[in-house]
Amino acid sequence: MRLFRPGSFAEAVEVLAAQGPTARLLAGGTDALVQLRDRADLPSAWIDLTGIQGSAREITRVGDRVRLGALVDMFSLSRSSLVQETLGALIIAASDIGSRQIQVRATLGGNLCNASPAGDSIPPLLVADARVELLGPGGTRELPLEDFFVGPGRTVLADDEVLTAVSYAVVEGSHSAFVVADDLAHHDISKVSVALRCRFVDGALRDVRVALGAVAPVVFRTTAVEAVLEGRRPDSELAREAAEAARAVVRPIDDIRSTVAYRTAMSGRLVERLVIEAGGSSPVG
Amino acid sequence: MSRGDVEIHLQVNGQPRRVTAPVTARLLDVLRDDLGLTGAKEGCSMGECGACAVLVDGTAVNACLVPAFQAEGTAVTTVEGIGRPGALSPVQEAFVRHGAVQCGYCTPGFVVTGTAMLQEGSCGDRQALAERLSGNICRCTGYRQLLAAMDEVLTGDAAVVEAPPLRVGECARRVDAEDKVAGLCEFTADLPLPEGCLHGVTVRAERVHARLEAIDVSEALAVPGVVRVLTAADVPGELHYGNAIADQPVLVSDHVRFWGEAVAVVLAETLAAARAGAALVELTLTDLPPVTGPEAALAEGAPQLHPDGNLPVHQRLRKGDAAAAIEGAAHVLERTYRTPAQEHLYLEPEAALVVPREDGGLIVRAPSQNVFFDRHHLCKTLGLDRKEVRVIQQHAGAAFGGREDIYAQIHAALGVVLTGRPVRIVWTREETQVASTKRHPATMTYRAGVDERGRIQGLEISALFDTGAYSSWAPNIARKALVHAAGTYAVDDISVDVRMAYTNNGISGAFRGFGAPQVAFAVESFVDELAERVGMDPVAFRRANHLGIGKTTATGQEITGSCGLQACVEQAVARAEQLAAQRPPPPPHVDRGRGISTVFYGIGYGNGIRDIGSAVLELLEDGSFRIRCGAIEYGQGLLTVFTQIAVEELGVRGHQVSIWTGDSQETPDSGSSVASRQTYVSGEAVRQAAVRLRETLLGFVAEQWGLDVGSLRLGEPGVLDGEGEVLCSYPELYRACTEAGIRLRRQARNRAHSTKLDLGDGQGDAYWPYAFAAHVVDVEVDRRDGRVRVISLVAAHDVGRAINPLLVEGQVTGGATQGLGFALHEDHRLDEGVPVTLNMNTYRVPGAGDVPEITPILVEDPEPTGPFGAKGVGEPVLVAVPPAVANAVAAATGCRFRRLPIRPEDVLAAQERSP
Repeated sequence: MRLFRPGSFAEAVEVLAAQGPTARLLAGGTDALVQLRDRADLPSAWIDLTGIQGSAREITRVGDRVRLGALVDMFSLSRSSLVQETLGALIIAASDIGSRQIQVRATLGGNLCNASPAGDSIPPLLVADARVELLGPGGTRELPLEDFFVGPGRTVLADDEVLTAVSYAVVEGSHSAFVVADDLAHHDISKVSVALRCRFVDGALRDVRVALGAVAPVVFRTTAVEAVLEGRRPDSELAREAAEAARAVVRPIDDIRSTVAYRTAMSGRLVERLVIEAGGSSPVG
Repeated sequence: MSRGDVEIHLQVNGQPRRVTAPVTARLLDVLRDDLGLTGAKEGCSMGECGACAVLVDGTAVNACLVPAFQAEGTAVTTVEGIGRPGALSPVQEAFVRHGAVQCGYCTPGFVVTGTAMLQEGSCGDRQALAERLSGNICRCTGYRQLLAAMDEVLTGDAAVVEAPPLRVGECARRVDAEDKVAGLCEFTADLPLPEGCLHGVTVRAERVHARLEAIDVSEALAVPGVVRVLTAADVPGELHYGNAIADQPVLVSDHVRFWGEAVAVVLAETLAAARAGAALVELTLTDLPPVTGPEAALAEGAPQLHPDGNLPVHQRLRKGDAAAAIEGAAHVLERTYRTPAQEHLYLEPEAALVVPREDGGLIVRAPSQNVFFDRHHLCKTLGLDRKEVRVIQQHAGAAFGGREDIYAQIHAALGVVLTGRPVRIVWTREETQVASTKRHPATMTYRAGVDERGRIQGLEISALFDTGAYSSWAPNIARKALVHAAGTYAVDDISVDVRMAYTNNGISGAFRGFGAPQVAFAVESFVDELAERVGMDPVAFRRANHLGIGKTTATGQEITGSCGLQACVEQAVARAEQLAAQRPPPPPHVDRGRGISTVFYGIGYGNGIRDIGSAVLELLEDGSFRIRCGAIEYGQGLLTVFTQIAVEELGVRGHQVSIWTGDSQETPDSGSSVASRQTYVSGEAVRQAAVRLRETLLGFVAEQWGLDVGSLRLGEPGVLDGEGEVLCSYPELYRACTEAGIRLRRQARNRAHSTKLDLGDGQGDAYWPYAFAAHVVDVEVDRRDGRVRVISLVAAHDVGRAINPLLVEGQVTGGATQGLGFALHEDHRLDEGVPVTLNMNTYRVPGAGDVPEITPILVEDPEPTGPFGAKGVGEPVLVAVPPAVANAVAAATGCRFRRLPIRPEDVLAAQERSP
């Protein structure tokens, strides 16, 4: 097995092109080294991205968006004041991903490319109209994060592409929240996760975005739930309606972590909780 | 440097180092294998346990998830660089002082994380502290001591206190604690590889139930570096072994009975070659219909897993006429309870290092729970004489009963016999998960008749345990379940049946509690249900039926002494009420409830089995004393307790007494470190040996000096006369005694008493003594998600006498935490026989944030036959927890959960059924 340590994403793409699809990108290693243990077939080469400096590790405001380099680690993300001000839900999610020993190594890009249906960083980004930047031999292409995931562990990232950054839209005065169902006190993989973002106009919810995790092959935004909430006042009646809509859109499975029944019920309950909490956050009350 | 290798320059513990390693090497490999720094441990290999934590440029990371080349140019600090005995860091010192160290395997990781936290400064309240520590798993302590130590270190309130003396009744520091916090304690995989050592990797059949038609090892042997492939045909002695029934093959010869069963072992010059070879061993297997549950195993026409059928054990207890007594009772109730398989999850995976001796014999090092059993199995299967096999217990990264079975030792020893070279085998976490024993899953049906005053008139119990593919300790565990099935209640008319069935579900064996946790969950839940049926308070109902002095157990044994049950109940209930009174009311979405359980637990082997503790005390040439005892330290604190007992009885100081344990050649057989027996049985042997040695020494001096022996005593500087004047120093005494031909090695054997139960009716004095306990648990159930949080656990234990209260409390918090895991989280799951909880990401155990305030109460009702009145405590604490939790959840929710673990899924479903 060979090792390459490119100094830039452009160089990484060149190496990737030269080495072909059996080469594997590597960043913090918190998933890659675990997967390596389970695989009989080693990659032909490792392309280690951790030598890349600069914007790859930065969180910056670019116009009406916040841009997060793919190599931003979860701990830095959880401590970012810019993210705290613009997308609190992502702070909660980043803080919940693994123990500190994991957070300081795990990268946002890695978490997205790993494409877990239960990936905690995904729902908060989905509710903020996130877009990913993919660099390939032909240059950069950008696409909505929603379109990035294909199935569990699968994305549209081509064999010769590298995810370089993700950005999300800043909505002034917006409220965001993230909540999960799990078993143990800390760092459990979510059984269900829900993110919500909205604005308040005269006490009504506007530009509502809701995303659900761990209840389908990919984390997804649900327009059905959003439509129920859009333009209405967040009270317990509305929360119950939204919960019902959420239960109708999820397609969970029974697995080692939970059951269809629980995931379905909790999809509704977590949505209900977030709507009621949003009501508490509304400046009109 | 071969292709695929990289050169890495880094600083390690302040020293510049250069290493050449494969691209795939992890930082953990480089530290342990290339640099010989074995303080960082491998526990899960996937970043879940934190035992491998090191500082990289001051940040704590899991070294198992860091590619070694990414450490290029960094400064790495391992536990060895943080402090050493005599110069411990504040974190290490606090861990020692607070009793935050038990087996020591997780300790280096906690020291590293704690050191990073100290550098960061305060991290907030106790909850934030727990979260910060949650990347490190400890299976022994229950975290309370770790949290207290870190709290103190971070708030800078470190009290400078002198270490309490190593005397009986003192909270003395563990004698092995400093080595453990410094990462100097060597576990089997930490031992330097002997020259020419081969690495063994096990080939496992990934089938639930199959016939092994053929093994083709030719491709494996063609791998460069592969030396030999061991198969069943190579076993020179008896192929089958077993603790009670010899039903388990060393390697599968024809019949695969569980997923992951060992079929072959590849021996090679390097671990990589052995792994490559193992992947190429070709097994031809024909699937057989699987038996995936004990009910199915006993059904007509079920595939028979062993020549004698699928029911190796059926034990009965009959006292009076249970059916008639129930028939005539005012209230009759029948309920069925279920418990899952639980994994010990000790953090050190199985390991063995075996080296050949020049005389043709073997030296076996492994984290064993009984070196004499290991020797027995090794001799039988390898066709060796006991003189040819020396088994030395290496420090064990905990055991909890799981290491009462023998694992990699036989395979490694077989490799040595066949190759003449040393062999090391270290299992992965996944191998330990599939091939080590588990707590037996059980289904238990209870039927009782109760009169109007709440007196249990009759009780019928039927329990079916899943022993898996092999029997391990099945008959003994069945007996423990039989004796404890009726719990702490005196019932005249009772019948109990405990059956153990073979299935294809892994192997069940010994685990802290040994059959009692299952039946305790059932009987203590059932008693609450009976109380409700009769309309009585659960505590009052229990009191109306409790055992006590003069009452008889289900086996007809009269309780005659050391029964602190009522004191436990009173003190636990009172303390729980006090604690609750200080608690603010819960938020509206939370329901609170309180539950109680009372348990008893037979100490020792019981059933008339020869239960002998044996110890030697000797005076050495340098004037120090040494204990030799074949018992095993695996974290529970036996080295410290035995030292305290010897020091107390001799009258010398702690630093003058050393201890040597767990060596089949050099220490006397003192039985297994199981059954909560070692303090009681072997501790008393240590005490008696100390008395004998003291009497020998004082008798000799009295005779030489012509003094009255009653005026003499042993002191720190030497033998003292009545005025406290030193008559002779210990080195002088050693010389004088040796010249006079006086033996300075005195041995004592102590036998615990019990009688063999009648095979027909299960009657007899099953155990002696019994430990008693009462637990009161407060829970909060979140109506929004069905999660149960235990907020307080008061654990009152009648321990006879606490030789070391700090260690006893460590057993209480640690055992309670394993009990909480069993109650709420842990479930080793199989899907039609295929294990699905293969590592710590799916088999989840409580972390620092999951453990409530635990309040130990030590009730001391001295047991006359125990050393200084001591009984045992290691197991009963776990036994009491699950039913107390279940009863508390029932109180909070109005729903009764009769199956463990009680998961949010179950709670929510029950609440949705009965809104």
